[in-house]
Amino acid sequence: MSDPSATEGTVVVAAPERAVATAEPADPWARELYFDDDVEKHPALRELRAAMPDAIVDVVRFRDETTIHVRREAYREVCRFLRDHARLTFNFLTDTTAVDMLRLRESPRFDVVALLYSLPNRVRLRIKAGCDDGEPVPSLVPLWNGANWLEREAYDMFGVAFAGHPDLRRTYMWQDHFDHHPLLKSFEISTKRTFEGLR
Amino acid sequence: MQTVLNLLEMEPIRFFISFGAILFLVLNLAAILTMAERKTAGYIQLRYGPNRVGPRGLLQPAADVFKLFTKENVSPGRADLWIFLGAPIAMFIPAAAVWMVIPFAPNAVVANLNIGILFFVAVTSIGALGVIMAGYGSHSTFSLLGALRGAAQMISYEVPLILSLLGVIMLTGSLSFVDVVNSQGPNFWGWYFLPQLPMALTFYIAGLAEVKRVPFDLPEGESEIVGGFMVEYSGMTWALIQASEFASMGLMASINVTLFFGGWQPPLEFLDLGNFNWIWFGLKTALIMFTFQWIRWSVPRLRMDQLMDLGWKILVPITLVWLFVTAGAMLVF
Amino acid sequence: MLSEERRVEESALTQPASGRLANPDVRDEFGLETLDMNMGPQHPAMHGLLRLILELDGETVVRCDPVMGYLHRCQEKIAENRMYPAVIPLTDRLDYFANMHNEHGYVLAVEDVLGVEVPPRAEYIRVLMCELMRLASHIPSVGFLMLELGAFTPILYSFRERERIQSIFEAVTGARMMFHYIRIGGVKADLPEDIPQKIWDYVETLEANFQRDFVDLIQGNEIFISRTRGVGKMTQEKALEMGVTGPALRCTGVDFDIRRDYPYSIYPELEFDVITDTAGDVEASYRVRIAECLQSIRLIKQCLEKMPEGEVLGDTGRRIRPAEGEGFGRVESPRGEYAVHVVSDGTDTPYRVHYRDPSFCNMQLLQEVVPGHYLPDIMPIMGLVDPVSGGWDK
Repeated sequence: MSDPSATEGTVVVAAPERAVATAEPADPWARELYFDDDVEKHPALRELRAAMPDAIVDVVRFRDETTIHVRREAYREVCRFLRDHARLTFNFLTDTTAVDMLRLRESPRFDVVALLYSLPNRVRLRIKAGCDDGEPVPSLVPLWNGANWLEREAYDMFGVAFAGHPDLRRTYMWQDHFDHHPLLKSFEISTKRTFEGLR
Repeated sequence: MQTVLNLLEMEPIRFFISFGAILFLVLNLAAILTMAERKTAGYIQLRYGPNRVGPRGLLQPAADVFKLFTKENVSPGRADLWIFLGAPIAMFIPAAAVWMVIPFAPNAVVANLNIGILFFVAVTSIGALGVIMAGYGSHSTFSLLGALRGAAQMISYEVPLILSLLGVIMLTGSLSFVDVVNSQGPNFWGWYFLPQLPMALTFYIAGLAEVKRVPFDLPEGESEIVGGFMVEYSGMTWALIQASEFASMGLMASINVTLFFGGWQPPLEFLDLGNFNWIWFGLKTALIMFTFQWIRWSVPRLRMDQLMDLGWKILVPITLVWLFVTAGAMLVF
Repeated sequence: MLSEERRVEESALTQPASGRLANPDVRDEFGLETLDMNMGPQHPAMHGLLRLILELDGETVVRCDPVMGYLHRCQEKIAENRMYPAVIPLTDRLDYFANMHNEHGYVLAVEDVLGVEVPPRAEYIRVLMCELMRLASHIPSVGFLMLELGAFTPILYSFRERERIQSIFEAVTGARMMFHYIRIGGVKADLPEDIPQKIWDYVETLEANFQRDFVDLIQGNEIFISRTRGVGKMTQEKALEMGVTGPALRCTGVDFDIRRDYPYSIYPELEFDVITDTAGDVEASYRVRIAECLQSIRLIKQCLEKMPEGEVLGDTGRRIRPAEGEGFGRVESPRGEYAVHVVSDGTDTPYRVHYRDPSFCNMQLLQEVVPGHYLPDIMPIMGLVDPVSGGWDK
């Protein structure tokens, strides 16, 4: 509504037009913003920066995918925040995996990746948490039970330990006779190496 | 010549010859039924079925039997061997023995027992014992589950099976199969399936369950318990189980015919073939067996609780009600 | 659609699914013990090599613990040691009932990181092949469901259709199952001249006979209904929490299809409906699959009508060597969301390839849904999930 103290002839005519013109870009939840070139306009990032600013390490934009690197300790809290947020509602965990960054950077060694999807907004977001060898990453199983097997697989393949995972067993490899984690970059494919130490 | 005929009239020899004939019939019936089953399946499923051995694949059963004879009979290491090996026999003997009281044609019955129906009921329930023996002796969880299912199913379906017989017994006033057939008369409107239609249907369904055919093949249940009680059998022991299954299927079909469809009686009086009336018996039995196979390849399998529901909550009340209806009708007319 | 106020009870989730159910209190009051049973890996009705460790109380399943890895080939490790195009034939071996979708997902990921344009005709051919593949996967999965219920005949009807589709694939790609047809930047070769007409004819025949062969034969059957209705029932919340996708999710009522919600290729230009059902049981998943088959037929016809002329393989250069970055490809495979995550380090071999296979993620619901059902209900629930061994074992 216009200012009641204003004169009737001048302001009232212009006010609705201005409202229409400015309201569209000002909508902070517009779907275009998720894909805007300026990654800072991404609603999830904006909300995260406001709520837990020290959790974010880095933000990467590649093609139309946004990746938010977070601190390892805050990994689960960030995901919980994004899931429970009333407007963001990243309520679907598509995938959890790990990447061994041995040849790409010094430290931290692993990236633990969580792919979130928001069913109401139809947008995706990738959360990455770096962790070194032996450092536990908070498990996402308390948030999504579907992370159970995905994290078991990441543990099986990389040896990444998930803290709070209820049932961290190997998925594919032998549970008793196999001491390696095959997707590590330090694990070379060779028959001799693979089967040494097997009973 | 006369001495030979007189010899044949002697009771022990007559019995042995008849028993040999029955055994021959049952084993061949099993072989032919496997063939028929596969051919029926083939035609229902848009394929040919066996067509390589012999003309149109007719020698396939012989090849099967030869293969099963030459196959090693494997038994599980921790199986209870006597029970394991006794089970197929315990299944086969009841399936073959009941054939002795079935009249194939006028005057063609091995033993005209005056308690033939009771004999049939008593001996077929021994089959459940064989199933339990097979499941217990195999030392396998799948077998055990299959045997438990089989025992539960066969014992529960005895009840509607027997109840559905009672109407016929009341109408005939006799427990002998020969009397049942004779009282039905040489025209199809005299057969018992008309006044006893619910009983005939119940008997058919309960009979399907009794011989463990689809949709009541839970003891085998190949998609969940991989063959159930017979999962550990191979070679001739397996063949014997199969033979007993097919024999009891043929048996159930022939009892069906005997009780409700006039036995060897021709459908119309002028079609009477005298001593060759066994042709009518065979035709009717084959037709019933074909419907068994037709059902087998058309419908899925029931679950255990649904099976029990069907038996106890639907079939038993139907038979009980029709029992009273029959009794009332007999009082009135 | 899911309510925004959804909250998961965390106390219930901190316990593992198996640990929660393997509670020793779940025993009979008479002190009877449960029966442990191994279903698989060599089980005639199991979808491939899966081993289920079951704990049975009579016929009721108390605990179900799937054990995987009997077909694991470590595809992700092999892919790290091969050049980008050489990974495509490996992806065929993943979910061997949805080979085209596997190729498509991987190729989309590499194209994403590479940033190449795909000619429109190639896009149309890809979608055409993928929808044919969806038919070739959904129809047998209905047959498998019936086989698991004990009816043997429908699977042969469904495999007849699959064989015909495979013949089309053979004419187009040269192979019946392991195609290696979708390439980075397009497809291997153009369609043979007579193939569009053949596909059109086949699809018309299928549509005409579909009701008779796969609906009338199955849907009204009393035993089918009693075996599937209410079996494997799950709520939307449970399905979303377990990360279930595809028909298994849509049969609970969640309206989620990547083809529409996160479109790739030319799906935005085509008209189709996303099929949902509300029941969330085996029967609903059957209905969803059947209806999706008809949607696939619709898509195939549109593809054939709209298909433009032109090149089928874009220019990607002699060596495929993307810049450092990450690529994502996700497609709606017949079983759900199939996603590929490719990390490039600037060389001509991928640094890391990760497949998110729907079979693997969907199968988690076995742990949750199966306990409490009877033993024979496991098989229809497997038919609901419809996992493929090559998919969950990578």
